[in-house]
Amino acid sequence: MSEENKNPVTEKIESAKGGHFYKEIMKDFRIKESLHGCLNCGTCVANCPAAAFYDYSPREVCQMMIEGDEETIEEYMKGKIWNCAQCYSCKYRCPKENSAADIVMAMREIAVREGLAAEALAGYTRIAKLVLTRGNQLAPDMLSPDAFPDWGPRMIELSSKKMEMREELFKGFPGMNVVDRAWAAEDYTIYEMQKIWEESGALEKVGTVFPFLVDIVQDDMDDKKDEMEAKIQEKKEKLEASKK
Amino acid sequence: MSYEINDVKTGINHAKGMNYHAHDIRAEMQKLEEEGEIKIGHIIGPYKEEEVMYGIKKKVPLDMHYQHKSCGQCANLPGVPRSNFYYRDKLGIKYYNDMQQTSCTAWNYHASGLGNLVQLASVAARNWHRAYEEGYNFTIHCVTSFGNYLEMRHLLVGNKELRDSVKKVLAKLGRELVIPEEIVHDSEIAYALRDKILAAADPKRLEGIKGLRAVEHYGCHFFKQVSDDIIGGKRPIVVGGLASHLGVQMEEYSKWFMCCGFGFRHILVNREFTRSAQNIKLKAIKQEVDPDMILVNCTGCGTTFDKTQWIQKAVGEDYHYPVVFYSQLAALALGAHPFKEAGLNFHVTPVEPLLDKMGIAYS
Amino acid sequence: MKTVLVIGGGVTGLKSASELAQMGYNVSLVEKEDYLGGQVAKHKYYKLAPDLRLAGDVIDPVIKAVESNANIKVMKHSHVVSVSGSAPEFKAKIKNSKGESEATFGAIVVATGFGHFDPTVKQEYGYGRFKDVVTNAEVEEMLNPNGPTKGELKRPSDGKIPKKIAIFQCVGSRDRQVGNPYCCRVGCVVSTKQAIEIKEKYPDSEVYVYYMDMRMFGRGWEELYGKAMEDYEVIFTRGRGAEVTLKNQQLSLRAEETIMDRPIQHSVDMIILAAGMAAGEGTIEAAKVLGIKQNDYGFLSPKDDFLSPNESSKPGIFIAGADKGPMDIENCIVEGAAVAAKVAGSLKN
Repeated sequence: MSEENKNPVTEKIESAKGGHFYKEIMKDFRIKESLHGCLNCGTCVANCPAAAFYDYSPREVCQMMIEGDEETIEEYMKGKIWNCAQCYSCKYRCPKENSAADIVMAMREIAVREGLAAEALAGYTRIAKLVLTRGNQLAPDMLSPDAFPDWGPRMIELSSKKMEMREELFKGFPGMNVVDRAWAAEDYTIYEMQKIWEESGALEKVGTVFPFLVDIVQDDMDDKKDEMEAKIQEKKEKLEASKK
Repeated sequence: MSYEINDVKTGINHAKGMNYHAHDIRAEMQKLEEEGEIKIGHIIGPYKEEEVMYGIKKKVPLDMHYQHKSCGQCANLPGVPRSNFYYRDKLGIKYYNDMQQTSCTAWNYHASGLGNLVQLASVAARNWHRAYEEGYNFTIHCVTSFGNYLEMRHLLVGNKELRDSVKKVLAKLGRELVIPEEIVHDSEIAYALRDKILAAADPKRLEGIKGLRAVEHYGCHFFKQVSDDIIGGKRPIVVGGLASHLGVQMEEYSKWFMCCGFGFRHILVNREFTRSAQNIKLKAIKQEVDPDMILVNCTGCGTTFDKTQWIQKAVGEDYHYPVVFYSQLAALALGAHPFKEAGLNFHVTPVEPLLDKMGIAYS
Repeated sequence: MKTVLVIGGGVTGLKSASELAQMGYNVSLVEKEDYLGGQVAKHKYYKLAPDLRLAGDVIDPVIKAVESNANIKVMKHSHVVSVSGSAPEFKAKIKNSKGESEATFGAIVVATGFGHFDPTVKQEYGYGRFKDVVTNAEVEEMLNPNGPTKGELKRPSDGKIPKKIAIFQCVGSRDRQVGNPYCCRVGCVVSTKQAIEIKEKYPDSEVYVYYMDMRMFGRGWEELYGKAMEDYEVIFTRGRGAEVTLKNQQLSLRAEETIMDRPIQHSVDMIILAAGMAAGEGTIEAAKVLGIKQNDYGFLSPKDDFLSPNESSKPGIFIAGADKGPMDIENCIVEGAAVAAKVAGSLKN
């Protein structure tokens, strides 16, 4: 169709079903059990904490997927999906048993994959790094009063005394008294975690947002590879033997 | 016009008789085990049956507990895992604090979308396998983990493709797919053990607890993500149920259902949301109950309630409700030192006034 | 001449009994309550949609037709304990306070009607927790001058007349969460009728109906809807009532204004739940005792919905009225007559 003959109504109908994002989202197998038609009753919106404060609507999420409304889907993919608090109040009360929260989760995965999440994940580097290099995703030393001044003045006292407090609390509980990670997961465990991310393709996805992190992880894995793969080999043999 | 509410007593209040809907995932799991598709990590040792939705019975293991820890609790509220160990030590329950446990990564997943279902399910299956190979029952400290593991179980049981992908990943680690017979949260275990906790409690401590007024708050991922396998049914009862068993007077407030505002990402990067949601919750709690404490079972909620009261001064409102986890309450009842063993000194909202009311020394 | 057993003394059972008696049959009518008239009597229906005609005008003649007919033996406060045999010789044991009796019947009509969905299960509505959350049925009783509040709409909490009233449609219907995905058929017209009655009695009140769809397919129903909007200024908000809470200690509801695309919080004085029709206790018991098929929701299944709508899954046992599914009174009366004709036909041979 030439530029002059383009009709906004036709355009909308042409892109109504089967736009790129719509197709990608529909590939996720969770969608089938998360979307069963929509009564447009608004129960989800009434219960949604994000809808109370942001220009965000779980009803719109379901409707745009039912209609294949690529324009609105794109609007969501480019930012609105990050408003959802993942509280599942929508799923819990929907009379059709839809789950806007799960649809949003599928959309977030795709947003990361397609390089649309850089802004949303701007504050996220440290947690991603912790997960992939420590095996758990928080550390006592992350929660400093500088990062969270709105948590009150007591944070200052807690932050400065945390080492002695933890030592006292976890007397007799090895591995729990650490400050640079949640608990002292073994190196072998961290390697297994990294391997899972690698094998499942999740590490590659991380690379679209934090490319340097992938290098760190791969270096980390390479350093330990021989020792850890030997351990895994031992495990595999034991498993085979137990099956006989 | 002033308002009157009939109090809801803590008790089983799920939808009875709607059996047209009820399906039990355990039956599906058994079928898969018979077909050789999965292995089930059967419960070891004694268990107690408690009712979930539609009257279906959930087996709560009472011993040999694998402790699946919470990143958020260990980092920020370490009194909770400590209390979880404490009440088990007092009751003579054997447990295994695994240093080969990984984070479930669900907080990261829900907050950032980094990761994918195969990764999430494989991490779940790997932790399940750890409990299995050590010979322990899988029990969970964190509510985010709990909701995640319920969801992973549901997806793995329902999806051959996902199962096959996960098995492939696990094979590369020398592991196999073992799904625990029951996915149980620690607050469900403490509830199932309520008689034993009461029996072993310090009478002086119970005197101090008796008559305290509290409200309860459940993590969204405890009961909203997957609703049909929670003790109590559609409306959970485990926190208030344990507390009232120990003598606490539980009271209702109209906003019990509302999310605390943690949001997984919001508490880090969108804090006005968390503060605004908290404002609504705290206002209702103050206007309708004004309790001695807020009882919780969720890492995120505990963090949010504890850390977001002070900032409400910015809108001219003053809140100082001590936030106490169900297991910290149990630990206190059993005689724990409030700081050295229940870790309440790690909470930002002052707990000292509450400890004074309870007659517990803390200096 | 064979005797017919009619189980249920509501409007359907009464109509079928009197039609059968007029055709010359003997009828035993078994009713578990100590009054006739079913739900109409139980909840003291005052006025019926769409004409706002007095319910008494409709139900009294039907009851009278039965009580004055010598061929109909009415057994109140009784229920059928067991049934054996098959058409055309059923042996039924009937029990009441005086004891048990047994009798033989040529055919059985099951007209056990419906029960209201218990809204306690929808915890988000706070029924049973907030005193001023009531049901259509409770309001019906209040609006009746012979009812518990002498015709005044009163808040159960403090006895005051509510100024702002919200009505929630589809409570226990169109809802997979409680296992009732079906439409209750009459919720829309009953709420519209009550909204008009409330506005007529209290012209200064504000009445809001929270709905997903207004299903006004019956005789005069759409016109009634127009009347409510235009003559009585009832406000219809397109959004399902989602939650009942408190705001500053006042009863408050949450919903989405789906036309305007925004969540709303609305503080009111009373909330009326249109709790839909579900399979009644009597229906569930009758299905068990008689061994006849029910559908997924507990209602009785006809042998064929189109071709044999009044025959149950067992020959000689017939079904009629709201025990088959949600049904309004006009249609229940038609069903009563239809099943009588079917029974008569089956006994002719």
